[in-house]
Amino acid sequence: MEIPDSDVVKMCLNGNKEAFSILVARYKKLIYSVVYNMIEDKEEVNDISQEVFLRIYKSLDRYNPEYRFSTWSVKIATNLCLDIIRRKKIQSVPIEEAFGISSNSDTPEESVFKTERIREINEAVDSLPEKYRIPIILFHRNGLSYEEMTKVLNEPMSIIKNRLYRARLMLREKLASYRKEEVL
Amino acid sequence: MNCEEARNLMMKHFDGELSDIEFTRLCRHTEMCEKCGAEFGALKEILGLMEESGTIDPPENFEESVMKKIHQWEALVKKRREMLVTILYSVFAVGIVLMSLLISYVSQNETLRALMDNMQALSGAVRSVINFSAKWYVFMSGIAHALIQTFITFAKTSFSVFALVTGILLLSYGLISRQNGKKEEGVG
Repeated sequence: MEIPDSDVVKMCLNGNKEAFSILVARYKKLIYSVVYNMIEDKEEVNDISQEVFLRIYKSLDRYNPEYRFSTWSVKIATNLCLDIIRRKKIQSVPIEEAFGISSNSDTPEESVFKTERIREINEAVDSLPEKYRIPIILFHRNGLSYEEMTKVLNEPMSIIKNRLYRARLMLREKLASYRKEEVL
Repeated sequence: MNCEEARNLMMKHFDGELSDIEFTRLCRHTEMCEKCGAEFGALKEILGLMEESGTIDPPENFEESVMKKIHQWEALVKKRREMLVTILYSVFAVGIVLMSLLISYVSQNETLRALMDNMQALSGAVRSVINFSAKWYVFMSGIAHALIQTFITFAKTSFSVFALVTGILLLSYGLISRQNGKKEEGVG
């Protein structure tokens, strides 16, 4: 049976530092994905993701077990990424550069089309204002729920919903205008 | 259903909150309305691709790198703590030595010894003044407190008498002030 996150946190705070590796193993994919979707190149993503876990480790005494550990750690990751973005104005990476996204069932032509389409979507997402870009990334790329997003972004649910709805429509409009430009 | 309602249902669908009945209604509308049909299709494609490309696997040695970083940080914190303790002990030791030298110099120097004695006497006098002031303050505040309490009790228990006495006092004060004013005018 899996040890609950709050128990692992207690073990770390009681002196068993190595227990933290349990949390790293559980949430490395989530944190890495969040950072990857918000920051540029692989090296930066790797270093920043490690920094997120270091910050989580330093803040373990402030973790409130009433909240899910995943939500709390994503909040730390998001805050760090936003700080870095605002300081360095780092752009999101075109997704096709890093990992293969085509499925085994795609033909080569479909694969190329899909890659190109995702590149366009990525470009359109990057061009959205921050207050719309972050919710759409957290919801549709990182799979956070509305409740988790309210805790990560410290905003009421109604505002997040409005921004997400607006972001979807803005994305659609941008991509429609790209298509028009291609035709012309 | 109008297009605005359809759009709301589309958003609910992408939120994962649409019921089967609502989904059926939405599909019926998008089949009939070309504009909404195109919009729904486009959003499905865009958001679907976003969700597909969402999660990324970290490198294989990621856990090891994180734990190494944590151990390095802890070692750094420990080193800084030890350095701080060393500095504090050094400052304390130097302070003790300097104090000892100063005391031994003062005890051997007549003028400085006399000055230290005077300073001691002065600090004693200052302490006495402070004690006296504190006691005087306590005494006066005690009297004031007692007067206020008497006043309040009197007002609560015998309000009519209190009102009468207050009225008489105010009237007397007014009369006396008027008399004093007339005397000053006469003198002037």
